[in-house]
Amino acid sequence: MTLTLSERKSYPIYILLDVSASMRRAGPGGRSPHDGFQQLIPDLIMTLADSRSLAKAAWISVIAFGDHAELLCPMTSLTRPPHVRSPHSGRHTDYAAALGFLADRVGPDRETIEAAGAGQDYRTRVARPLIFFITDGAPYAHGRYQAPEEWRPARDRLVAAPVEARIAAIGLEGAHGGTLRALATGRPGGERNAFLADPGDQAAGDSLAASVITMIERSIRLSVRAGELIIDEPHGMRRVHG
Amino acid sequence: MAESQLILGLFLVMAGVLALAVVALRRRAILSQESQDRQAALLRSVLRRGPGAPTRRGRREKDAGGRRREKDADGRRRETDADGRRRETDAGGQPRTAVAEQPARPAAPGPAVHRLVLDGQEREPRLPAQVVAGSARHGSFFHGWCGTTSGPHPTARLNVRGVTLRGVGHAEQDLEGQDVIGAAWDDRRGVLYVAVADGVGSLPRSGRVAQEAITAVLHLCLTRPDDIAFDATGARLFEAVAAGLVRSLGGDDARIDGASTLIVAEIAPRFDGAYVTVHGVGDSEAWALYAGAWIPLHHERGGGDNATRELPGHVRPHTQRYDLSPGAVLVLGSDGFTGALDESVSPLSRGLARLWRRRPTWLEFLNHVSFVDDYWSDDRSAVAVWIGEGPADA
Repeated sequence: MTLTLSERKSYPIYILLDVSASMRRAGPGGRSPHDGFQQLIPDLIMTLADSRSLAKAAWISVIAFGDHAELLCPMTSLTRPPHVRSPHSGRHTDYAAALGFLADRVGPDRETIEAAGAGQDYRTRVARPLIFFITDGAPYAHGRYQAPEEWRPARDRLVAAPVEARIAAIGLEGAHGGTLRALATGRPGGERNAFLADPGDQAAGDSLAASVITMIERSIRLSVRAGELIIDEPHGMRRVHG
Repeated sequence: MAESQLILGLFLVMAGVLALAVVALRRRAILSQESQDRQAALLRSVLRRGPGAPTRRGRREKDAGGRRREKDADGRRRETDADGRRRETDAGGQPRTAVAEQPARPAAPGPAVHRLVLDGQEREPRLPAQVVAGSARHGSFFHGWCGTTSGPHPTARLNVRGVTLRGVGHAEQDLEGQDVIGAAWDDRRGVLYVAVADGVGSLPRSGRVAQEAITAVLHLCLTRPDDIAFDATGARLFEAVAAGLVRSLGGDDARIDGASTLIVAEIAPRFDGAYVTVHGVGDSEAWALYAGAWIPLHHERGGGDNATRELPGHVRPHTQRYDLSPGAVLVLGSDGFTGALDESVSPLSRGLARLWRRRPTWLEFLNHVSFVDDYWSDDRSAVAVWIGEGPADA
């Protein structure tokens, strides 16, 4: 490749938030997973925007899903304050709708980011999307559980070339680990980016927020070995093993 | 009648002026084209790939006012004043085209760095025989000159500047910087080795790996058997460094929780210029700067994420050989610095092309490498070698 222009990488980050009925069920502390994750979004944006270097590189989009997918925040640079709408409550957990909706967004979002970098004295390279899929790991739609083969094609569209997204699937204790593992990317036949909150963590939502922020910071700032697709195990979480 | 003669006369005078203007413009256009051709030829001569490329020799001298005069094999003369402006004359002493100065660009905002001089004059020290500097919790730098300036075969003097800085990103997260730089002068062979390693940030012991890699590669370069040329030993050299890393830092399962890029260059100064060989694994880069133009010597750009080749995982370096003319600058750096360079338009490339027309002091160099740009928050390292105009180029 020629080096006539220097490159700056932009990192598209998607937060997919499960807003189904099961996520709103209050836990022992009277707080539901949904409450915790709801707080995650402003915490995440404020923390990332606080760092000038991260704000320059990170773009964020928030999508809620329940009965259907709902765009809460279109792909937005963190150099300006993004506006995130509140989600509508849902009853179901339609993975196929959520992943299909996201797969359709990736191309236009990439164009949005590239257009913002046009005309500068550097080239904007859009990095592989980083997707945080926050769920209880129980896909349910149209009155029955969704089989993996129903949502897997949309998930595979995201992780295959040319998108090559990295997916971290995050759930609270009690979430279905097998589903989280099937959603997540990782080493072929090895570890995957599927995480469960540690049991007994009273402030699960808060620690998850902090963990997601850490994961984003590390993904943007730190170099990795070629071929490495694994996100470090965040504090307050444990990796789901196969 | 007299009136019509006057009009005719005026018309002839105007036509004459117009013709002269056309001739002058054409001459200027031809000279401008000549200038471009000459600069292109100059650039090609700086970067002749492969060994054995001939170097045209001429004469150089410098006067007390800092003016440098050169005469080439064809009798053309070039005079460069202390501010870097150049004037050329042909063999008959007639002026040739003037080489345009780089367009002036405002320096980065902020106060200029002025040396506090109380008395006397700062002198460039000799480069230490071997130096390794890291950026774990602080910035480090070294500088000095080296070369074979006396004896029967004097060579161009090399002036070295090296700095490594913990990045803003690591500082904000209270993590250690993981860049390490080094240099070693091999007095027996009369060559300089410079190296840069950038620890892979996602692994906790990468700073230590980078430190070990620089120490090991310089040691192996200095102790290499005489019958093995540096440019033929890239794979063996990197295999040995990788094996040493696993031996010294690996646990029972031989896994080390760290990795690092590595780039190392041998600079063999001649009387007139220097011959350079670069071996590299990963996204640390090597560049040359000459006559205001940046030329990439080693890079591995093009990936869509932060993944890089590294040691000990990858032991096959890419190897490049170059012939650098006097006045050229060789720069090795981690991606936190060289990532902001390109061949033409980036603010850093343009700024340094202007600022490094003359060799900066170590303090100026430190200021230049620690440029301010919110985007570039990674650890930042650069080792630069100015190829002197001859043994006496202090």
